[in-house]
Amino acid sequence: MYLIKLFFSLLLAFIFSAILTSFFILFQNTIWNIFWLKTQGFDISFVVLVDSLLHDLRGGLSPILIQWGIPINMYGVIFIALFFGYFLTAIIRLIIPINSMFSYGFAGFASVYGIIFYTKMTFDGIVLISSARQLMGLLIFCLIGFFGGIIFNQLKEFFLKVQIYEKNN
Amino acid sequence: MKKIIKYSLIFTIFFSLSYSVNANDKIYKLETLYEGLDMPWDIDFLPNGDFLVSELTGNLKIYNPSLKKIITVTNVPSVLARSQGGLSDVELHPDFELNNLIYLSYSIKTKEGNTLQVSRAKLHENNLIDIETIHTAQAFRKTSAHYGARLLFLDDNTLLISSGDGFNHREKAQELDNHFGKILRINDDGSIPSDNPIFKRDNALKDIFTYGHRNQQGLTKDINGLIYSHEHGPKGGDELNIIYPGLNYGWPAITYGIDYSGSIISPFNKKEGMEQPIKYWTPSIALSDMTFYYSDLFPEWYGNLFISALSPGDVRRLVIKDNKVVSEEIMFKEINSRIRSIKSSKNGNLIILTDGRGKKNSGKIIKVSPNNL
Repeated sequence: MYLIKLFFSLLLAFIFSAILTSFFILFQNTIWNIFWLKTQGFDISFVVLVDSLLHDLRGGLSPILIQWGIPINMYGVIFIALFFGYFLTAIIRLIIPINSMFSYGFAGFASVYGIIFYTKMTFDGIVLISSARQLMGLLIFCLIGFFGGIIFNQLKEFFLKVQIYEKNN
Repeated sequence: MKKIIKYSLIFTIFFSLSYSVNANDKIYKLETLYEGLDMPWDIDFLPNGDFLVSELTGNLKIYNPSLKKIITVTNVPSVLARSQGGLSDVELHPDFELNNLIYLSYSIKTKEGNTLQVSRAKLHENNLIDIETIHTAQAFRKTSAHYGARLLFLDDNTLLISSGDGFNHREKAQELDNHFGKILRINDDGSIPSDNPIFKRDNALKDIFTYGHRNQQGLTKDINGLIYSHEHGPKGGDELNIIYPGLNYGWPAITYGIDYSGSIISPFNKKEGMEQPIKYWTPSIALSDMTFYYSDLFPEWYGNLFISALSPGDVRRLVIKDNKVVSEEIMFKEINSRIRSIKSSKNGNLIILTDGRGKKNSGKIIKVSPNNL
């Protein structure tokens, strides 16, 4: 029972942090595009900004690639990348005692960078996410992953403490 | 029960007759002239009736329709044949019968990156001689995508070149200090015409004719010399434009498409000072080439614009009146293949190229001729 609760706690921590990371990645891309339009003389109202953000949150649900016969959307890509990053970090931490917060933060950073690297390898140098085509945009993109990893770690630690307290009491 | 059987029989007979009539009422027939090309990209017609065909993989070939034989032209410039890049357009000089000049567009690799280059050479007995590079696009990129690469000679013998946005460099289509997302105009020797548009920005390159394009693979002109261009949109938003010198065609500031990731590229599809397409397609059909038809062989098609498409693979016949598209017919779906090029030959037949992507050496040359001959 304890293990089942632990599993679901970790799953909840992962899902929440991955959703938050996805939202901020999509927001960043929208804001990047909107900012460029502003430099081109477009009048960007609050309504246009919100409408664009909402469009992109919905747009993240449409498939962008097919892997192993399964259509995967932007959220799926981010979830899969973060899962592999966190899983690998957990394995490494069993062998090497690295600070938990920074290791998961780095995992998030590397996972998000890995998305860009993977699309570049798959599509012959093409970067599908427009905001990540310039260094500053790529850095912001990866920092979002870093903070997503920290959030995952903090949630994981919180849920673990709750489980341990419940088990002992 | 008897009534059901009776009405079913009547329906079946009616449907069969109807199908039989429809199956025979096509005014054209399709004939595969040749199969075995390796990703053909463009075709042009030599004065002796032979076809000059470029293959993206870097070969230039001459097809003799009478003998049904194909010969590879030698001494073709080496190209960067990768992804969307390679040997692309082949155009005969308007005075080819006097000067034997052909023009080639292709992608190359340089120290600064990959880019589009245009060369001209004399075609001499299945060999290219006196090869001369006349233009190298200032559009260096690490990718191998969105070269544009279409060539068109205007009535004054100047040459238009479409140069795509390089995919990763789309914002540069709105800047005039580079060749990303531009249509360029040069003289047939590569020099810059004195009557090119003058832009108000100091750093504007002088060979720019229009800007704000994405990946223009269609360039043609009508019988009056009016220039038409089409370009691939992102996810949706393929466009057909009438091209006027000096104008901004809006990409990526205005677009009818969205990004492949599902995000907006721009929430706007109109802005003052940026041109609107005369037609756009959503979802995308991947426009690849186009030609106006001005022969009496198919009088019902006279003056129509035929646009070839890659996805899923058909040809769109557009009727254009007063610079507006008034009707569109989807044709040649039965070819069931990506259609890379469509041209009108001198004897009035339409010649279609399928690129056979995904299966090596399966590109075809298909002739569209009247069904009653």
